[in-house]
Amino acid sequence: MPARKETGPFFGPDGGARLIDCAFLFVDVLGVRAMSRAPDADRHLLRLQQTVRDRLRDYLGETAPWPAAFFSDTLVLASSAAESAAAAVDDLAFQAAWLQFALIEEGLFLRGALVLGPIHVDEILFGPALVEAYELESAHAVHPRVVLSERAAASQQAEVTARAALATALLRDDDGFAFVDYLSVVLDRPGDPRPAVERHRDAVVRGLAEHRTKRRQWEKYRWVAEYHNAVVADAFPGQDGLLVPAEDATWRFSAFASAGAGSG
Amino acid sequence: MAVDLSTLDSGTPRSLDGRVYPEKFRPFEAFDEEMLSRAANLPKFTFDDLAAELDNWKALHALGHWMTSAEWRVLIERVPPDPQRPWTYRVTQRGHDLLKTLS
Repeated sequence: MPARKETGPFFGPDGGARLIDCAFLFVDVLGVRAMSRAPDADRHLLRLQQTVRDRLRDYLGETAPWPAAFFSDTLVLASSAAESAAAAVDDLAFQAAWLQFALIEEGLFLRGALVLGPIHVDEILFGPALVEAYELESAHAVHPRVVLSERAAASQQAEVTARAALATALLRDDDGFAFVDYLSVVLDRPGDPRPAVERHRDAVVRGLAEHRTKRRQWEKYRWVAEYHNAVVADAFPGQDGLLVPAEDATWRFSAFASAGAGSG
Repeated sequence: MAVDLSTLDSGTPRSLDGRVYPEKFRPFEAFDEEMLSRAANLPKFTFDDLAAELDNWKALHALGHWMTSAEWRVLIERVPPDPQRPWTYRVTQRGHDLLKTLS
């Protein structure tokens, strides 16, 4: 049987699979497992598909230059770093930002990692960048945010210093991790961003209300509320109506003897 | 139209709600000729349609930010949305005019 021959950046001249340096995005869409088992799983699938394929771009387009895959609750996306590692990271941060914003508008939150390193993306997904991104996402993302590896973040810092063409906003969290400031892509557009900010606020408020008694999940929405309020207060000083109301995002305490105690 | 057209020739467009063209997009104006020359051949285009016309990673990496910059400068504009397709754009008359001066 003749050897299988493949073409494209992830294959050498002899058709053999190879690793290439890429910016690599690994995101975990939260709640997909529960949605898959829900009675209205078809509706969730349609919502997910439309968001991933019909908003900014078709993230899973077969002819797109950015190799991608979606399996289980995970989406991966690569951008070649051969030309510029910094520009590749900036490119994926931009795409991650729009994906994250679009999913949140649908009530779907994500957590992920953006790294730089060798990867093979085809029918087989393989390479140190995958391992690093998976470990970073599962151990350190914690909140619904896309964190950058040290190397990916350093590439952006160096380019900012050099005043090169990078434009995706990043923020640094309390724990030191740089993460994608996804609301920035909405705030940067010429159209009035306030309707989109309001939709984001409302999605966060809904998430907080629905998970009020599920503390682990609720804390994730609370982080998003803190992020929303920090970014929006900076962009729209004095427009407190755009913020997530404090009462929705704070712990509530009641008297010991009140009804509904959770433990003896 | 989200941009105050009277501000376009100033080089620093303003949105109708008073925001200013972000300075961080200036470096992406260097891609105007490359992007517009390809976009102008398409009656309308999505992000991926234009990406398919590009043959180098430098331009591909810049595509998203260039499109935002070009929207601010009214070189491209969104066409009425189709829920079954990603956001779709076309080159404006201003974009075609700029392309003539660049090429």
